[in-house]
Amino acid sequence: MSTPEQVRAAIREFVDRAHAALDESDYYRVLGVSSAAGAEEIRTAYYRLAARLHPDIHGDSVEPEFRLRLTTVFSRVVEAYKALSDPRRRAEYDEGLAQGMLRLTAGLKVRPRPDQGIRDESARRFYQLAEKAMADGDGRAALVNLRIALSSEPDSPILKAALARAEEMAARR
Amino acid sequence: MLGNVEPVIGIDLGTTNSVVATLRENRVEVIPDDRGNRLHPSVVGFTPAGEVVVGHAARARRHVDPRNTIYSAKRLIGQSIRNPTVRLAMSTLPYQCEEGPNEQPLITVRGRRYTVPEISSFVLAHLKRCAERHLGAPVSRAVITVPANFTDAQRQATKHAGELAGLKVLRILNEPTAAALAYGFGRALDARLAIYDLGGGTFDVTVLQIRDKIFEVLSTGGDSFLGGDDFDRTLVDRLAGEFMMRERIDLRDNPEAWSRLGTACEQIKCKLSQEEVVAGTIHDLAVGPGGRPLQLDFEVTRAELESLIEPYVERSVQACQEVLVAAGFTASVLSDLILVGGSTRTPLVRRKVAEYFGRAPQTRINPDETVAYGAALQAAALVSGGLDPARFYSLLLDVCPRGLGIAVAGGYNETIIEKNTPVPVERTRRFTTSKDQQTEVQIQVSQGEARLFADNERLGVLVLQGLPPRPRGETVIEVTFVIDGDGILNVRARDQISNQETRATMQVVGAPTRDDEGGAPPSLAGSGGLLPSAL
Repeated sequence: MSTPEQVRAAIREFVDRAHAALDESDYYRVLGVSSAAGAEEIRTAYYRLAARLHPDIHGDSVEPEFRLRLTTVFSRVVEAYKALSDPRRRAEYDEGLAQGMLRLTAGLKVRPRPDQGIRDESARRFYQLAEKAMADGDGRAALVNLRIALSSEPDSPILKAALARAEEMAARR
Repeated sequence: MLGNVEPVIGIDLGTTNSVVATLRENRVEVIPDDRGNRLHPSVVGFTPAGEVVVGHAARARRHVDPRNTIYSAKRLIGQSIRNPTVRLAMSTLPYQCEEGPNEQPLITVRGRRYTVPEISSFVLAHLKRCAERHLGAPVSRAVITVPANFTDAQRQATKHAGELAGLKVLRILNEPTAAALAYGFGRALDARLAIYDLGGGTFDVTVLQIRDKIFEVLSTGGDSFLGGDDFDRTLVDRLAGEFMMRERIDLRDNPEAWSRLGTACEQIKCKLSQEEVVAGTIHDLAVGPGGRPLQLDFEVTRAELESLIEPYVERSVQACQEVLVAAGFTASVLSDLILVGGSTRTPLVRRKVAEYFGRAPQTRINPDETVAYGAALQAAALVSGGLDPARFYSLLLDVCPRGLGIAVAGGYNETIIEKNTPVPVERTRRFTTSKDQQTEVQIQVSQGEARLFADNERLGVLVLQGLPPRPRGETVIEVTFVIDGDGILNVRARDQISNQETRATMQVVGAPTRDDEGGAPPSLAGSGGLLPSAL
């Protein structure tokens, strides 16, 4: 039998390792299950991890710095569990994972169409072209389209925001 | 084993009554007041002598001194006074309540103004004293329960009330979850439960799964303004209407009479849970011609009450449907149905809920005490932790009952944390500045699932300050939104370029400002556009 102190030390080591590897881990690895795992196996893995990583398990004596890391790791476990325990989301996740997307963050819901706030017809068209360019990672093409759009609706906060994003993207390339 | 450790308590801070309990020698004890009462009215009375009385002593003053006897504070706590449902609740309260700084309701009693958390802190301090006397030891730590659908602001205000009462609040716990902890205590279960919790002023429904001391909440929902008080109000309206017809006097104009009518209706409602017809007289409601006291003779049948309250009960059943769908269940896979809250004694409620879930509710736990019971268990679990199997009581995997979102361009709401996500949870978003040399940005934060930001419940403003002045778009701030185990939002922010922590503060609507309890109120003025960068 291991003592609570030994358990605590082992969990700390685990949390530190997991925290460092979070950005390279897919959800299956986060939960420690194979990509063929069934619903029951996924739930069991989640419960096992929760019983080790949930901040409540550690009482209120842990130092704040460790608690932050614990919350980050537990939060990712939850994210993985939520994605893999819902068949529709899991299918969506697997599809993205095949293309190297480790996390299922955006796109869980139908996203609002921000262009509805743009009044001018032509500005809206160029804005859509710019968004498409940004989705393709082409910040410079997005900039060109947004400047045209802004010439017909210079005060639009949506266009200004998009411009800021496009500039950021273009600068990184 | 816990002999030398300071006891911890669980508190069910109710709209009408509160209950306090503790776990001692592996048994939960409900703590009585000095007269042996296990239910403590959530009423605070301010006597002419300048004394503050709480509980039964205060409730006795409700009719003698309605303007200086404060009850139902839970209906106001942590809310903007401009909230239409708050205004409706206020219309039936005989005490003086008006708008203070930051849209919060302030209560004036005997020439002094109190914030709502201050009023609740009197109740909590009373419960703390009861516990200390009963246990013969100081008590400084507690778990306090709130309805699952309480907002961030309501949770914070409740926690604040606990602190004002001299308690370290170990956890703000959801009431239906507390009931589940009580139900599962000391039993090896592998079960799926639905908890239907209809109190005086709020309604919650929660679906959860229990296995090996792990309690996983799958989904939760409800209505923060639905409860037994609505049942009372339908009766009050009916009887006040009758009095108006007969005597041409509007009882609303007289707080004393209105308060007495309210209590009478509550009693009629309760009696109708046992009897088919209730008849009687309410005396001294007004003064008629020649100084003659006017009374109201009434007769109400259960069928009549049921037709009045049916729309409310239907609304609650609707919410059950939504919660089951969110849990991915149908009613047939549930192992048990738990009813909590005094209003579930109403026969129509029991009938409709049993009908919807297709099963009779379990009866092994006391609906009045079960929430405090669960709170006491959670308090014990939190102080002992879970690493020592001998002292592992339970692990609760609760969820955030509402989605968290921010305002984005076009007036839309972007969801940051989805409803029913297990807590604690954190999500990170990146924001950029939209103006040159911008050093401060403000982000509007809301709770709710509506697509349009304005359709959600406004939580407050997140302010990021002290940003290094740079050309627009160059500053990228990584903001981490954390919903902690209390269901309360915490925010931290980091400047990606300098890797420095940035000052991030949430200004919550309806919260007491420092000034009201000593200090300066935060300013909500000023602006600075802030828009989410590409994901």
